[in-house]
Amino acid sequence: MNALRAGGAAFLATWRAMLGDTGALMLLFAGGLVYSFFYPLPYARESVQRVPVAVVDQDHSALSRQLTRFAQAHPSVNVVAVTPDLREAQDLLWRNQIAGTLFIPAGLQGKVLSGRQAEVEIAGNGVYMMLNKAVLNGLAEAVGTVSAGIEVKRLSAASPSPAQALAQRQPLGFNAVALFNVREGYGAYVVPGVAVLIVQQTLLLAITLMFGSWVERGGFPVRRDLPGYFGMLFAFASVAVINSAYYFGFVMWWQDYPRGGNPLGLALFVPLFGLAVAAFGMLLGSWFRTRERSAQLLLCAAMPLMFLSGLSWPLEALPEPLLALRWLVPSTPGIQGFIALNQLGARLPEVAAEAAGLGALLLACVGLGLWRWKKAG
Amino acid sequence: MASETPRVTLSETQAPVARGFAAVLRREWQRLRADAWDLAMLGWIPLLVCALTWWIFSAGIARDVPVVVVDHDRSALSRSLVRMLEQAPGIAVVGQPASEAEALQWLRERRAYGVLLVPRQLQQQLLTGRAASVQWFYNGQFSAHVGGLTRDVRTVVSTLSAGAELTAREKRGASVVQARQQFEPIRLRLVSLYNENANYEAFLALAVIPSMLQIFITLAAVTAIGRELKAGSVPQWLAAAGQRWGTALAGKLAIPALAFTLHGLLFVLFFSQVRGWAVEGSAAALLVGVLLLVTAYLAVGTLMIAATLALRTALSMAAFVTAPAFAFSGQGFPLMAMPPLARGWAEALPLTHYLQLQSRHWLAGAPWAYGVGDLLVLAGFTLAAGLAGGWLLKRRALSPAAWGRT
Repeated sequence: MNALRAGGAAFLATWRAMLGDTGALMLLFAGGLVYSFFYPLPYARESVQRVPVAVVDQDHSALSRQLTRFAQAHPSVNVVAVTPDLREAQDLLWRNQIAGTLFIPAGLQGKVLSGRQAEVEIAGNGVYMMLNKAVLNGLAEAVGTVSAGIEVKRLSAASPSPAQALAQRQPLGFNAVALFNVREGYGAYVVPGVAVLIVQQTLLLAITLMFGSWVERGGFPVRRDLPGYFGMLFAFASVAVINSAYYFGFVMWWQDYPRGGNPLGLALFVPLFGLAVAAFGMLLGSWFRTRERSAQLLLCAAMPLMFLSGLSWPLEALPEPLLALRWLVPSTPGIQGFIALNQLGARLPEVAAEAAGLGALLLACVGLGLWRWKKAG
Repeated sequence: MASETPRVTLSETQAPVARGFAAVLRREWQRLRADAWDLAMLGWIPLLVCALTWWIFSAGIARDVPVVVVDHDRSALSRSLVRMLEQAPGIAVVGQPASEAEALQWLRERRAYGVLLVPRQLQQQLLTGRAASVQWFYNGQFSAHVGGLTRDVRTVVSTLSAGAELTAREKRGASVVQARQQFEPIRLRLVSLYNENANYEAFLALAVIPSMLQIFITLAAVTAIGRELKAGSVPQWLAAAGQRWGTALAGKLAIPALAFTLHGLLFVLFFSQVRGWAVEGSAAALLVGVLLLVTAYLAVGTLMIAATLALRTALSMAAFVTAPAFAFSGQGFPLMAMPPLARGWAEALPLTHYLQLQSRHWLAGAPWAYGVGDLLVLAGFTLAAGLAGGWLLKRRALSPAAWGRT
C-alpha cells in the first residue's frame, strides 16, 4: 500500500516536472500537434494526376494524332509538348518540365495498316518513382486503347460477335484490387507509420532531455527507488497514450485515412507501446549528462528507424543482421502493430508477434533501467 | 582608421585576419578534442548512420516478396500459373489457403502482401473460347511492397494469356508470326529511364543520405555557436578572432565545413566507384552542389541559433526544419502534386534544390548547364542565411542577456 502511494506520488511529481519544463512540454504536446498537420501537408492530394509528358511524333499520321489525342484524354498524363525532335524532349526532361515521353517512330501507321509489327516506346523518368508509374501506366493505357480498337476491328471481321472478338483478344483477364488503403493514397500509406514514430521520438526526446537537465542540476524530482521508477514510468507512458489517442483517434479521422479497424485491440496495444517507449527512454536517459545531447542523436536516428520498420521498404530485402537488430527499438513492432490494428483491421492474434516483441523489450528495458536507476540513486 | 592610412591597413589587417582565423580554429579544435561526443557528431556518427542507411537499401530490389494463391480451379492451367509465379524473382508463393477469408488473414498478419484468386472453371472457360479473369487483391497499405509485386503478377498473367491466345489463333490456322502481329497491332516498349529496374539503392539511398547529412550539418552549426552562447563565452571567442565577426564565424565553421565536405565526397565516391552508380552527367556540377549543400546548411544553422540565441530552441528549430525535409523534397511524393503551401515550404529548403540537382547530374546524365539554376539557389541560401545570421549575432550575441539560456 505504501509502495503504491509512493508510486502515485512519483507519478504526480513526474507530471509536475513535465508541465513545469517548457522544453519538455513543447516536445511532448506541441511537437506532436504541429507535426500532425505539418507532416501530411505535402501529401494532401494523395496521388498524382496530369503528369506532364511530351509526345515525340516522327510519324505525322492520322494514327499518331489519334495516339496523341488519347494520351491527352487520359487523366494520369498531360501532353505539354508535341515535337518530332528527341533532343527537345530530353531537354524538357532535364528541366523537369516533363516526366516522360511517348515516342512514335516514323512509319508507324504504314506498318499498322499493312499488318506488320509496329512498336511505340513509352519512357518515364525512373528517378521519380511515382511520376514514372503514372507516366508508364497512363500512356500504356492510352496506347492500349487505340491498339485494342484496331485489333477488335480486325477480329470482328472474322468473328461473329464483338463479345467473342473481345474474348479472343484477351482470354485471361487480370483484375487488380487494392485492399485496406483502397485509394492507394500516399499520405494514407506513409503518415500512419510516421505517426507512431513521432509518438516515440517526441517522448524519447523529452525523457532524455529531462534526465539530462536533472543530471545537470543535480537532482531528480522523484526518489531513486522502485516505486519512484514505476511512478515515473507510468507518467511517461501516459503521455504516449494521450498522443496515441490523439493521432489514432483524431488525426486519422481528420486526414480521412483508413482507420478504426480494431479499437479493442488498440486499447491493449497502446498502453503496451507507451510503457515500452517510456522504459526504453528511461534506460536511454540514464546515459545522458547534458540537456541537449540526446536531441542530436535521436534526431538522426528517426529516418533509419522508419526504414527498419518494414513499411516503406520490404523486410524481405533487409540484410539478415538488421532483421534481428530492428526489434531492439519499440518503433519496429509499434509501427507494424498499429498499422495492422488501425489500417488492416487486424484482430489481436494477428499482431501477436508485435505484442510479444514489445513485451520482451519492455521487460528488458525495465530490468536494465531499474539496475541503472538504483545504481545512480 | 582605414581611411587615414589605407596602404598600411591592407597588409596590417590581413595578417590579423589570418591570425584570428587560426586562433579561432585552434580554440575550436581544442574544444572538440575535449568533447568526444561533439567530435563524434562530425565524424563517426554521421558515417555510421549513413552506412546503416546504405546497408538497409543495399539489396536494391526486393526479391521474393510473399504472396498466396487461392486456387479454386485446381487445374493444369492454375498449377502452371502458380509455377510461373514462383519462377518470377520478385515473388514467393508462400501458401495456398483454402478460402478468401483465410487469405485475408495472411494479409492482416503481413505474412503475405497479395492474394491471387483463381476462379472455379478457369481452364474450362478458356478451353471453350470464353474469356475469364483472375483477381489480384493486394495490400494497398504497403505500397513499396506491392508496386513491383503487381507489375510482376500482371506480367505472369499476361504471358499466360498471350500463350492461350496464340494457341487459339494457331488452331484456327494462322501462322505463329501472323498470330503474334494480329493480336497486338501496336506493341509497347516501356522504359524507366535512368533507373531501369526501380532499384531502391539508387532511388532511395542516394537521396536519403544527403537528407541525413543536412540534419548533421545544421546541428553542427547550431551546436558550435550555441555552446558559446550557453556558456557565455562569446567575448573570448570574439577576442580570439580579433573582434571580427566574420573571422569568428569562419574559424568556427571551418571544421564542420571540412568534415561534411569530406562526408559528401565519401558519399559520392562510395556510390559512384564502389557501388557502380556512375556519375552519368556533370561530376563538376554534382561536386559543387555537395559543397554548396554543406555551406547552405551551415548558414541556415547559423541563422537559427542567431535568431533564437538559445541552444535548445535552435535545436528544436533545426529538428523541425531538417527532420521532415526529405518528405518535402519531392523524391518520394512529387513536388508538382503538392498543395501550394507545401510546395512553397519545399522550395524554401536547400535540400529540395540539391536533390534535384543530384538526380539530374548523377543518374539522369545532364550536362552542367542544367544545374546552374539550382547551384545559384544553393549559393543564394548560403549568402542570405549566412549574412543574416552573422548580422544578428553581431547585434545581439555580445549582450549578457543572450547567454546561458537553456
